[in-house]
Amino acid sequence: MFELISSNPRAYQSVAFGAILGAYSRLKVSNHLLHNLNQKYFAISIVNILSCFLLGLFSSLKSQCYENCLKDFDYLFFCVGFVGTFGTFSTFILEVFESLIEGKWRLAVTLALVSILGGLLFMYSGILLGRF
Amino acid sequence: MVLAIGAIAGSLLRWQIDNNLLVNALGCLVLGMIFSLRYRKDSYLLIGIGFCGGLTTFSGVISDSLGLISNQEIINAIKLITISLITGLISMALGFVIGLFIRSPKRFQLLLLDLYHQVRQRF
Repeated sequence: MFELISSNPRAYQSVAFGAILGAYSRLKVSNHLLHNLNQKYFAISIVNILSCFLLGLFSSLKSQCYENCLKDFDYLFFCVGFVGTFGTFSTFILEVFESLIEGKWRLAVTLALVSILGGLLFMYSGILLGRF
Repeated sequence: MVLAIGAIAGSLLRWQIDNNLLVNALGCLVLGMIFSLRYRKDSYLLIGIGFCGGLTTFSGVISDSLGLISNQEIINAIKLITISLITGLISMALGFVIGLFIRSPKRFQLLLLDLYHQVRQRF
């Protein structure tokens, strides 16, 4: 099934548009968290947790109503394009790396634990919400 | 506009590779290089936020490990998360060192020599 879709040029389009939307919204949300709420270190982990919630929601919606609400191109647009670009691993690792270089071990461990446990929890709640 | 170009390239590459670990390691390597080269605003937006942010994905790792947890393989899920964290940190350190080398090879040599002498003095 996947090879059939990926030969279609519309698939590339949907991934690309989702990526643009995801990147802009990540920039806006993290800038808002940085400047207005003064969350210097936890901005990107909040964005990551949000993206986990959205991925759980969309994937359970996709598995629930097969043909009706989310088609394959919409799945590519939302899950691969939008959510995959909205949540980022590299900036998260950069924050952990920076705090390790500055010698703040506790902050690095807290950052990693908060993002991973929060991501798991919020993805599970998104899956439950999609079933509901 | 700059951000959009980077994001499109990164996400299409991620979709084609379709392997979370490899993609995250690659993105962290590039971001570590950018971080140590201290690029200005526009190139950071293009490569750092656009390309690396589009290339790497956090939700994919979490969804893989949640799938493992729902199959009651909790140890494998913990293994997966630690492996991806350590790979990311190592590749970012590697990228950081490569960026230092690109910025000034001579100073990098001096730094290595200094490190070598420190290690020899201690042991």
